[in-house]
Amino acid sequence: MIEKKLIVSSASGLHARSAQAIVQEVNKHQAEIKLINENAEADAASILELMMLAAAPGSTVVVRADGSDEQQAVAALEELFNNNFNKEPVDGI
Amino acid sequence: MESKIYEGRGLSTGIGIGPASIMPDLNYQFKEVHIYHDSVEKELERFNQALENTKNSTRKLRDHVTNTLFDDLGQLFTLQESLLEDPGFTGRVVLLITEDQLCAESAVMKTMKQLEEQFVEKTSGKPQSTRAIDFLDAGMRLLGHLEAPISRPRLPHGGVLIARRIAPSVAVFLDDYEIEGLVVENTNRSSHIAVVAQSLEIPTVGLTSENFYRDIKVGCPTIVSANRNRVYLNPDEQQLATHREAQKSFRQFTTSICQETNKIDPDNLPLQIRGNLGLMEEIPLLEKYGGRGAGLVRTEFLFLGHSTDMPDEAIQAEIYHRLARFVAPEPANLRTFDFGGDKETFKEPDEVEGRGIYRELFNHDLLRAQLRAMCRAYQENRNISIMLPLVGTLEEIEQVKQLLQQFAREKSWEIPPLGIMVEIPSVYFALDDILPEVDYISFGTNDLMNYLLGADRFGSPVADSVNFPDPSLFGFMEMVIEKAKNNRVSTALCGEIGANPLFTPVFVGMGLDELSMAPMRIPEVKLVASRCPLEKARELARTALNITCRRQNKQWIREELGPYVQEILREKSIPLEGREFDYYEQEE
Repeated sequence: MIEKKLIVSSASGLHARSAQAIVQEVNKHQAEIKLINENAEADAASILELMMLAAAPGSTVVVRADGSDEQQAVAALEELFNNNFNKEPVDGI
Repeated sequence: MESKIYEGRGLSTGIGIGPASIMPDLNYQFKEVHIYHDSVEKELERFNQALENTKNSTRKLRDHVTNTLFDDLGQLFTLQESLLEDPGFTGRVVLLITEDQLCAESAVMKTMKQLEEQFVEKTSGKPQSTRAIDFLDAGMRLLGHLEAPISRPRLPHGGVLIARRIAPSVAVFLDDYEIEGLVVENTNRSSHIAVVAQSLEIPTVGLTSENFYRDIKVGCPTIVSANRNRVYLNPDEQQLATHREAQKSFRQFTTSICQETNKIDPDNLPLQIRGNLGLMEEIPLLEKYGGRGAGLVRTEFLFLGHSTDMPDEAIQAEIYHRLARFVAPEPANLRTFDFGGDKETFKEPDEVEGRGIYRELFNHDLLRAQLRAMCRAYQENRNISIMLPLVGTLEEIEQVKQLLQQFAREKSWEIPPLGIMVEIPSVYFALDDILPEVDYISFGTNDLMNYLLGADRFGSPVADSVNFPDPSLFGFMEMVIEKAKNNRVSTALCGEIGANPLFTPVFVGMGLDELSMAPMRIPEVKLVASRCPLEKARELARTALNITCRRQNKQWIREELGPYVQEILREKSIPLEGREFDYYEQEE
């Protein structure tokens, strides 16, 4: 099992859109993944539980992964958080 | 039955009359119906089948709105799809069926009830862009599929629909139900339902009164007057007759004036007439009422309805891009966020103060993200320009230009045209420096008049109405227009006063290049602009500018200018009694 602290960088916090991106990423991996914010814990494969975390912009969440591909899963989520949940502007829209 | 009037908030325009039909709200008064142990397997199968059907119908709903003006609602359906695949939802239902031996309907109901309670509890006090009904809507449809396969909600045709909390899947099909009017609990003019009602032109009033929802019964005769912010229950004969008449003349007025003005070739007008937009859904109104592009886009309204969080650059760029594409090839003048005063704002750092561009320069991250988003959207939409609100000094324009030039260097972008709003009187003395730096100016007459007349929320010490043009306004505009013309900078007006047809000849005569106003106000102004000969307009402008006394100005407007303009409208047999607006008493 591994853990890593990530910062919610998106201006709107962890809301519907970002929660959706997380669920999509988590579903690509075998490991069981949880997000923890201020003593509340959410199954990262559940959009409902993620939305109910209602993590504020700039807050820290801990991602905890347990399973065969836990390393890759955490790395992928870290990238997602750093990339502002894939909402970074794409040139030429 | 007793007749009652409820004061609410008009979310659109028009008057709707008809019997009330009531849309069921989420109602959890269900019985826990149990099943036999050996039916569990069958019950699970039934649930899974209904789940699949609901997923399919949700995908269809999403496709239905994708690439339409209701694209935003599409995101809610994507969210609903995720819910239907969420183990936190389906897992609970399955558990209730297998462990508690509940029937599928009871299990779904119980799960939804728990989820809503949890959602409300966990997110209370925290900013949320999503409401429980936005995703529980999917659960409601799932219940429908358990009963019988349905593809869309069934609503009675005609009549006035009472829908406290209206679900997204109902909102997108409102057009199909031919309802006369709508009453909802939400009173926010930039909410999803308000924008849908505006673009479909369904008379809609937002009403929070608990008494209303208690008193209303199916079939109750109801009047929804979005024009007057009211709902009448069991109206008496007199009220009914008055509103039937008002409804008829409002419709006639709108239709007949549009018929008349759609014949006018905008190239033959002495000035361009554009629309002020605050919502994507107002774009069809621009077309309907014949506005040429958007002379003012109040960008803060594009986002405020959804969340109080600052929208990031990507989301903004996407919205600007979409808006510009819809109004192309006509211009889209995007005004940067105009916050401060009593306006609702995004969450901002504590040190932020003031209004307009001055305030934005404090909130550097917000301004930067917005300018970059506008610049990005401009690369593919050359009809975009950037307009800065409440500009007071050359330095403000220089700071904005530095940012734009920085983006241009980093990304090899072209820089969009830049305009400023003339609202602060002192800007006149900086015009010689400012005008060479900008492409156009636009008079924001609402604030300009307040500042000219020293008005605040307690009124003005010198004028009885700041909504009625003062001689100082015409005089000030004349001075600014002269300087602009010398610098070959085009001039526009996007304040409330531009929508009053009484003053159109004066603005034409003063040599303004553009007027921009709420879309539905366009036809009258356009008609007057096309019918008033240029010589006459110039003469009226000269008279207006020669009057320096407030009393004389009022008298001239009532006795000469007003009758002249009303004559133009009467000539075309426009039923003036149907118009919503009073010429002499401009609304705030």
